[in-house]
Amino acid sequence: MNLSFAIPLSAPDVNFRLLLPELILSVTGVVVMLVDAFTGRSQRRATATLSLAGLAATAWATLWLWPSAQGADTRAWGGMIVLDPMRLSFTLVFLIVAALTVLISAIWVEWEGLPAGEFHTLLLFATVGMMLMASGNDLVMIFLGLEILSIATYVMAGFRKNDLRSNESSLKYFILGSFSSAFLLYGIALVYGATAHEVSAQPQASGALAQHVILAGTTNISAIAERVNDGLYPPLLFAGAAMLMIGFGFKIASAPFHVWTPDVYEGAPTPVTAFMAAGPKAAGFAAFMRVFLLAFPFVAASGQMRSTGAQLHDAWLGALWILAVLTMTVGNVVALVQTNVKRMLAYSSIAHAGYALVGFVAAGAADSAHQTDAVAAVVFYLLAYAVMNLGAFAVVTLIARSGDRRTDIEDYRGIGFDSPALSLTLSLFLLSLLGVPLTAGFMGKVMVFSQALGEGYKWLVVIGVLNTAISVYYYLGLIVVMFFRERTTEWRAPRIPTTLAVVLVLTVAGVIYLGLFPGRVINAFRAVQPIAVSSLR
Amino acid sequence: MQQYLLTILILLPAVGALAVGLHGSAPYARAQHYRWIALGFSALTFAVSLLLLGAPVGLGAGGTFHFVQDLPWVESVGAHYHLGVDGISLWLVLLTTLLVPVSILSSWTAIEKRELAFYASMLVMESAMIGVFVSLDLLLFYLFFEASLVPMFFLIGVWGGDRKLYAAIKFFIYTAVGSLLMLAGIIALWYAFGTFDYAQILAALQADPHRLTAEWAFWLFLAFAFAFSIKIPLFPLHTWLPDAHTEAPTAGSVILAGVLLKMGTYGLLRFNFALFPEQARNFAPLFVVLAVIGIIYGALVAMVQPDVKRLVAYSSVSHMGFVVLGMFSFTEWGMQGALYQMLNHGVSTGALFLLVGMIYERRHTRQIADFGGLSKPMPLFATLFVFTALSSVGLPLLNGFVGEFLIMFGTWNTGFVYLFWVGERAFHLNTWVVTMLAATGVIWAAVYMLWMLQRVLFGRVTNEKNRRLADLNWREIGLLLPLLALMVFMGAYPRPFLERSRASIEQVRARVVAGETQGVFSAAAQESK
Amino acid sequence: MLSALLLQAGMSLTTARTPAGVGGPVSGYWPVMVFFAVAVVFPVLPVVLGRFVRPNLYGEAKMRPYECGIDPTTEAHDRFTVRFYIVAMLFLVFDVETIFLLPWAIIFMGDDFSFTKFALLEMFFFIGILVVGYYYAWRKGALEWA
Repeated sequence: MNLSFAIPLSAPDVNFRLLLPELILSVTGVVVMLVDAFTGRSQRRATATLSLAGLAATAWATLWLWPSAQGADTRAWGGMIVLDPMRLSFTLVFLIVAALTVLISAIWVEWEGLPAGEFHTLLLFATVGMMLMASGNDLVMIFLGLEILSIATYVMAGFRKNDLRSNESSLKYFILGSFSSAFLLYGIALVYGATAHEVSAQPQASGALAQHVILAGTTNISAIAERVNDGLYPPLLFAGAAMLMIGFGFKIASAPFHVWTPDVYEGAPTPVTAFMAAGPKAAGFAAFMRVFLLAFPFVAASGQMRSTGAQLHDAWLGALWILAVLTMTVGNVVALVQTNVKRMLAYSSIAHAGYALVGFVAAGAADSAHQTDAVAAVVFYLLAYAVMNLGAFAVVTLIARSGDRRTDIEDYRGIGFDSPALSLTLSLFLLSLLGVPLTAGFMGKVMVFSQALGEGYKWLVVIGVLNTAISVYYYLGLIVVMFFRERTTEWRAPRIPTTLAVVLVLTVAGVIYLGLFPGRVINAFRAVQPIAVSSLR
Repeated sequence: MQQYLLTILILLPAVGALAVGLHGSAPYARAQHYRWIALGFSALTFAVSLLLLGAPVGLGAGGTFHFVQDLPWVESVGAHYHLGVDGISLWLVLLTTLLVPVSILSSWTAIEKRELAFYASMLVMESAMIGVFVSLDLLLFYLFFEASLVPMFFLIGVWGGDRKLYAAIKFFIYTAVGSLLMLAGIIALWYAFGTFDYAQILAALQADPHRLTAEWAFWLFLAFAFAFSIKIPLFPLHTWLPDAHTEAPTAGSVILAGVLLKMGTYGLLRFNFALFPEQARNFAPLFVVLAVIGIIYGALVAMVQPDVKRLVAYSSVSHMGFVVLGMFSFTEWGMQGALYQMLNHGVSTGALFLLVGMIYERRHTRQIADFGGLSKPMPLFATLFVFTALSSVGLPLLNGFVGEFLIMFGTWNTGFVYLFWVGERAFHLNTWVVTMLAATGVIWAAVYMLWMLQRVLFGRVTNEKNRRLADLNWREIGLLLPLLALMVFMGAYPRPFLERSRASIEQVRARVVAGETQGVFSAAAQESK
Repeated sequence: MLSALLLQAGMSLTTARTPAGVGGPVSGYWPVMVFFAVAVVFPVLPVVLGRFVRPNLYGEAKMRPYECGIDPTTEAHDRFTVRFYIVAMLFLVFDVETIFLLPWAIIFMGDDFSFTKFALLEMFFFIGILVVGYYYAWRKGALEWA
């Protein structure tokens, strides 16, 4: 029975350096968990400080890896882990999101008397999951990261145990999240099956089974790219790609796979909503882009027949175009009629996924030189969105008070001049979400739309611009409510706690910096194009 | 110093806004302090902006710019921080820096709530407006163009009249939609040229006029023209203006009429004419007709307004029609006149809004029917009001006359025929017909202005409340004086203005008329060549 | 047992073919389909058969939930204490996950000693993480019943 060992096992190419950010953060997560277990409750500050320190160390490791992203040593762990600027840029986005979430949640954890240590642990593990999604060069690795992320966020969504809305949110997220994971897994399985090909086994010493043939597919992204043209079962490949697209479509909340978003975002505690709208969405984009751009790239047609690869590329690009249009339009149109701020921001988050998808479409159509720029534009967009969205949710958290009670748009009536700091920063974030110049949102839209125009997607850009015009109404609506309407309810301006003040200062500075001087960031993001890493030696 | 002058001009009011804000957090802050800080900074800005007159008299010749500052800004997309003035923008910058301190002074007692936010908004607005006129990079221009929208939105929405919400949202949505299309156009230009820099794009177009295909140029012209036509506002797109002007506080109306509307006509001159000259020729008949409709329609509607402020607002539609008409005559007379009329309109209509604001402050009504016989309790006010109204109407020796005369003279002498095609048939629109129709606008203007003056100022005092109204105080006289002086000076001695704008105007005109030999403006004619 | 045999038969069928013939996506899956069919038939068949074979006698006592005659006193959907679920989850973590030890033990002594070293270290890590989780659960009181 030594047949099963026809391919000898050996240690994978261990390279801890490449996994350093993930390792640091995992260890931090475990340490935070132990500190929490050791010291019992009321260690809010200790665990928050530890988490922030861990995130800072991880950021340092990420920046330390940055220059080597172009070198030769960019693969490890049997081709499972890749080091390229796309991974590092996304990692940085995740770290920023996580750090801001820790700061935003500090006051909320105190109000609600929640176990802070557990929250921070879950947050850190979720971040590790996101980072693995961005660094995985293998469908299995991406799925693993996705599950680490998802399980942690399911719990976080239901973190306010005694609130029915939070429970509902958690349960809905869990059921629909599992549903989408199943799609993803099925897609992975189909792609694995579709890329099967023949491998001649090494003849054994006895020479008994020299002719033996093993059918083996692959889940390695670059190996898939090599095999799309000569896979044995092309229809399976299409079905698998479709399943993957549906699975990722759920994760990034693109229409028509967005139905879970509003309920989950509305019910979840506000800091968690902020995190979910910025982090996991970006992680979904990281994996979505890596899989589709690198595993199913454009393959030039050879001879008369169009190759399977070219057909597949056309098919998914077309589908993505439709997805982008639907997502932008549904998000913006439905946001018009919302009466709850969190729900409105949820639909706006759907719309923003649509704008980012526009850049993704451009990246899909671009040749390898321009692809770098398009990918960098999408990451920049997601970074900008993360910063302004977290800022907006920070204000919403503070205004909502404990128990998330004041989240209706009516609760914002006329608070403008009584809480000028809060309402002006919220207005800035709303204007940035709208895409007014001088803000990060504007630059993000310029980047993404110009990439799409560069690839000749005139109509996509026109639809995007029209959607922006629609969104004027509801973003402006909230500003109007805050400043132009008279107050009808009793309102005490909340004192801004230090942690939230830090968040607001950071996000305001970020929105303005990215809006005025995006050059440095975008240059860092596009240093190199995503590198296809092969596990086949 | 030379190259930083424009940056300083942009930053000064912004710093002032910051100072107002910081002062607000001081324990000894009083509401009265903010207006002094704001006035100080805006007056300082005006003083600094006078340094721009140090440019040589024939500035802008050969398409050059002065006080240029050009720094790479967003290198990855080829955007520059590129500033400069020529003979066109020079005057608009000066108009801005003059009107802002005047309108701040006019708000002295009129603004009674949220003074900090008000004066900070005014100063932020000034920064953005100066930025619009001196930007030589499309992205930078768009940035300032949009940034000027937000403070004005707040000015109307917070300190406005009874229907402020409706007016503010209407104003924002109209202009935002227009400028979004312009943004798409700007990005498309970037796609075609790989840069946002105006000078580079212009140079590339001059080197190779066919760099943009006719189809692209057609759509790009429309995208830009749409945004600017809303801002001007050209006839069918004007409906936001009466609401916004009427509901805005006095200072807001002055800035809106005096400066914001000019962004539209300035944009047409700077971008549509220079970048898409052929399309500008082809679209000329359409714009001329719309301008004439605007002139007459605005005047007729103004005539029946029961509200003084709304009357002045509709007169703006009429006056801006003249500006557009002059620009599309493509003669030096007409285009010079158009620029001159922009300044006139800023000064005269600005002063009219100030005057209306002064009686509104006293009576809290703007209905013509509520007034009558104001010349008795307020003789000084009546004198200045009549003077300003006559300037707006275009009385010879006052500024309005010079602009309107130049425009009509230029239009008459355009030497071109506006050609319309309906199916296979061509219709000529002779320039003298156009001029005659526009000239009726002047007559209508005299009618509605004088009629309004008669009902408001003269006759018997019908309403008891008007009998004991206080006449203008020194502050009000002081803020009107510079504008009145300008009306006389510009009417009597236009040369210093015209000789500084001539070279730049000629530059734009040359671009538009170059390559046109048949003297026919018509898209169809172009194709049949 | 039967299905396992079928699976093996299917394997041998496909692998015995020449490489060129390995193509059909359907034929390659037929053992799975047979398995699926058997899986459906196997539970359904006895139920249907039983219907024909057994005598059908109905009576009041027969239709009661408990044929012994005692009426049920509570709802059938009873609530269990949440501790059972915690125990179930702990079982998942500490029992099911240790199944990883099994394949590890089989391939542990490979030809290559470097792999053995690596595998040993990795297993220590793995068990270490489990121990941390165990400690956490303990401290958090998941093991206390009362």
